[in-house]
Amino acid sequence: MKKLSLKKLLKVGVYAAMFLLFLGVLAGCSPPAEEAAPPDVSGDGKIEVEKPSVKDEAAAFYKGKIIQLIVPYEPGGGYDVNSRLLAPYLEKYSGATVVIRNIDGAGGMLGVNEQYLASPDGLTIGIQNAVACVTNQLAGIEGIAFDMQKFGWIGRLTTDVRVLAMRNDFPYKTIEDMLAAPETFKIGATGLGGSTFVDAVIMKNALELDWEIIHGYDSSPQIDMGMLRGEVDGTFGSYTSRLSMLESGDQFVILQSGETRSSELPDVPTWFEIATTDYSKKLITVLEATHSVGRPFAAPPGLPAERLEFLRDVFYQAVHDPEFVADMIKADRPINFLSGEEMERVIDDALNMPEDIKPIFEKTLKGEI
Amino acid sequence: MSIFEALLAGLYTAVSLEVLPFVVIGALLGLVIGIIPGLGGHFAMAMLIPFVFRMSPATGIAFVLAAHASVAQGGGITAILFSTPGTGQNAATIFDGPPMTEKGEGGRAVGAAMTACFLGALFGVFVLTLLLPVLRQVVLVFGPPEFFMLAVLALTFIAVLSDKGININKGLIAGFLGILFSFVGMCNVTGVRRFTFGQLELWGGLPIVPVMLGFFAVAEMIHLWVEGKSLASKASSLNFAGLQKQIFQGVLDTLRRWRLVIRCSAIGTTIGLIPGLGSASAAFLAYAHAKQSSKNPDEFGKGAIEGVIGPESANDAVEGGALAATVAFGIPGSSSMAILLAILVILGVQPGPNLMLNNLDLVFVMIWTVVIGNFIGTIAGMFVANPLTRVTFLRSSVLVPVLLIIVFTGAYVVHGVYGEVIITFVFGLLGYAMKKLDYSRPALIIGLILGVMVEKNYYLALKLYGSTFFMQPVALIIMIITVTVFFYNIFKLVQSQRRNYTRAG
Amino acid sequence: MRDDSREKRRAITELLFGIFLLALLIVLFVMVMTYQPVARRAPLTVMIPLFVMLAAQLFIFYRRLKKLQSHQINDGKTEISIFKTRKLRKVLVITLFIISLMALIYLLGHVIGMAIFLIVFLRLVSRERWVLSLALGIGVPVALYLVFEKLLHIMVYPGIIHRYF
Repeated sequence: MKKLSLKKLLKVGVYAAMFLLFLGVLAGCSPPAEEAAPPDVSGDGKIEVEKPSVKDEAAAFYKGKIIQLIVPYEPGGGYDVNSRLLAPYLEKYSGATVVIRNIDGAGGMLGVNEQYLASPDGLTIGIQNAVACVTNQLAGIEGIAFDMQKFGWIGRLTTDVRVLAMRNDFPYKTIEDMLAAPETFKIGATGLGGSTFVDAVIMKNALELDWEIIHGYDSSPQIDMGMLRGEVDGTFGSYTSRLSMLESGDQFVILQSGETRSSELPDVPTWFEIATTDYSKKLITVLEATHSVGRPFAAPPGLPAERLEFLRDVFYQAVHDPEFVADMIKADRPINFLSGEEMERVIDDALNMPEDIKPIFEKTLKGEI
Repeated sequence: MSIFEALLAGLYTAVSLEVLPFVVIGALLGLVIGIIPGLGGHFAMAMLIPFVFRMSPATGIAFVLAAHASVAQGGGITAILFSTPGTGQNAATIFDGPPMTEKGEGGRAVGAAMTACFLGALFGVFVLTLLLPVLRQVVLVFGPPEFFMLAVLALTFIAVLSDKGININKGLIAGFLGILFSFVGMCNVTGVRRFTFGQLELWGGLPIVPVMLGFFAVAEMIHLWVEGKSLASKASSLNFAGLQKQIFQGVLDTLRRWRLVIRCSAIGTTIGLIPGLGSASAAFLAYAHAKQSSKNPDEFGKGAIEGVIGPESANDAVEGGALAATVAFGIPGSSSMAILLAILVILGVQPGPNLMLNNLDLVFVMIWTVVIGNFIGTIAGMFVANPLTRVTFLRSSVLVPVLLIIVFTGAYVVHGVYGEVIITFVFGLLGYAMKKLDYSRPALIIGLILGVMVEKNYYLALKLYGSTFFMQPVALIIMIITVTVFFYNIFKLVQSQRRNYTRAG
Repeated sequence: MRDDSREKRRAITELLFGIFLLALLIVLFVMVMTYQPVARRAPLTVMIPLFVMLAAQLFIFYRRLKKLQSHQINDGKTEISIFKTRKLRKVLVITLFIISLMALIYLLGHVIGMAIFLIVFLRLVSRERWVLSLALGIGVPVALYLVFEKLLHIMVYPGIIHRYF
């Protein structure tokens, strides 16, 4: 090996520094106004003359492009699987190639930050755990860069029915018996502020129960294991993710979310049915609102209207494609479509809590109750 | 269907013309994924989701499991040859693999590692098969009190790893530092974000693969560049046939040490039964055990073949254990198993106890796929290793920058978060300093993996069973073992200390 | 004499690293004290023995250094030159290069950042021929790009500049 000369190294350093400086200037110079302006859609003469509909224009834009679909969780999770199943159908109707980008961290918040900050050209979209996003925004957690009300909503793919599932040898088989029983029950939950925890605390509050909430489990599968061992009596969770435990008979559902009973669980009362006081009804209404945001697809704020319109169209077609519907049924993943426009309303509802309820939620999220 | 019938039916399906080609393709793909730093088994599986959708259950399961099975082989090759663990599970191979490469025995190390992987996997699924009738009872033995005790038991291995003459104190410092680092992130119990410095990237704790890539691969690159050597310094004249012969010698080496393989595989399978511990900790514990049980523990870290065989047999034996909880209850023990469950549902197979009652032959398709997939990965790995070994003869001035960018790309793609590139760098510097100053790096990693497990399960056990939770029968047994092992290790330490003194004096 | 100064250098490095760890521990300790009691419990249990062990280790380093010092006749010159070694310089150089690699990736994205880094490093530091530098500098990043983005469909980091276009 040849000997190193310090002089040469210094030279390299200077070059590198100059280069970095140049880049920095370049980055600093680009005017922020340009960010919002959509590139190459502004009508130049030719397009004006032909007067194609806005939709065709957007369709032409997407033809042959690459759409990044940001999944804020690691490969193989529920969000990832849903996205991977949907991607071919998004490609089919948009004419673009869809590439999935997993950005995993901070309970999905890193990926959603990235979705919010992405260039609003319509080539970056993302799927979200909007329930967690809404609750984190409400709790005002530091490090969150997004405002849920400013996203361009493409539409919702699924929302989950929440259930309270009990271990199979739990002595009380109906919620009435359970509420009337004198014992203290142990309800398992994952981390503080997670939805298994929030559901349990809010329901405990709304119904003034003496549940002991055992939180600190790593994940729902570990709570399932705890239920099998008989350590905890039950847990809140999404119906679809519990399906295998329910079908094997290791757990049964005693309570479900929603205003009306879902078609899968016609014999299980909803949490509205057991709410007796005005206060409990109000609290459960708010809880229901945070859950109804579900798992939507979003685009960064400032996306040109016609592209958002196009994406909503593509999404609608993809989700209603008979083959996709069949796929999802086969995979036990029920679709609960909601249009982008309606998503805006649902998000507003979830964020604008009544003044007297808001503090209770904030305290719950911070673990102060 | 009796177990024996199902076993044969599973084998018949697995080698049928409909399934076998996919097992082969899957295994080769897994090998490649393993070689790429940062990508692990769960990525290989997730990638295949769109493809398995229209397959028959047996084919689909065989395809993804074969891809998952051979990842450890690919990662083992790069860990040995380039000091770059493809995934966390191969990180423990890095202590004795690269020194062997440097001595010109890279081929031997690869041959030994590949064989160990295969034997480990074989052991894992063998145990799984034996346990099938009582699987549910076995899995349910472990709850928070038992996890807590097991994690404490594993932590005592820090003392073994720090056994390096007068450097015990340094090893303990490294181990405790690792435990302290494991507390980074959101505390599950209180929601407090500890030591995150306001960075979202650190909420979930220090990401294990970037940490290991930095701690071992980057540190090794810095070392290599500073010393100005190539990865393999003494054997640059080996030809193709010579290397192949060396690889075969490695195979024999492993077979000759079958007792070690079985003990380390047992560690791996046990860890696999416990959700959340993962194959990386299995590999490190197996390494510690191999060192502890060796006649010349001082050889470890300088190219002892046992230091390669131990972790490599453990990290594949994990799969048998991890499959157990998945098959018995439909409860995933790792992120890979979670994907397997998702795929089972997509394929229309109901996981959990029904699988054992109605589709026992599918369970055996899984078991046979793991065996066959590993076998293909092992054989293919030995052939891939040959050209790759030749790369290690390149001079460091070329190799170091190229490997550096590959490592940093790997660090990014794990989670797609730029912050993890920075974590890789920081741990690269720390790893280099610790390597130079003889602080035990495996001790730090064991602390990092297990520390927060101890805390979480302590809290849960306390809340569920009260302050006498360690009096639960199984927990008590583990505690007695822990205390015994702990004092035995201290005894051995003192003994070796005395020997050192007498030798020095 | 030569051996002695090497040992001294090592003793000083050990001491410095120990002090670094101690400083880190103190920073983390201050942070821990701001957390609520339950979150504080486990880290504190680890910190206290760690503190004791570190202090002991520092004491050992210090004593060793002192012993070495008394062995050696000191003229200020060796004291200064102790860190002007070829190895330390190389460590610093590669550290700076890794930092610049990260900066390049951050700004320009993985593919371009890696290419620039490789070409500059291979040509100017490793003193390879232009042909090899360019071939590797362009070939490896393109190969990685093809493997990740085209084959595996994983996006590599696009760089922050990407956001402005």
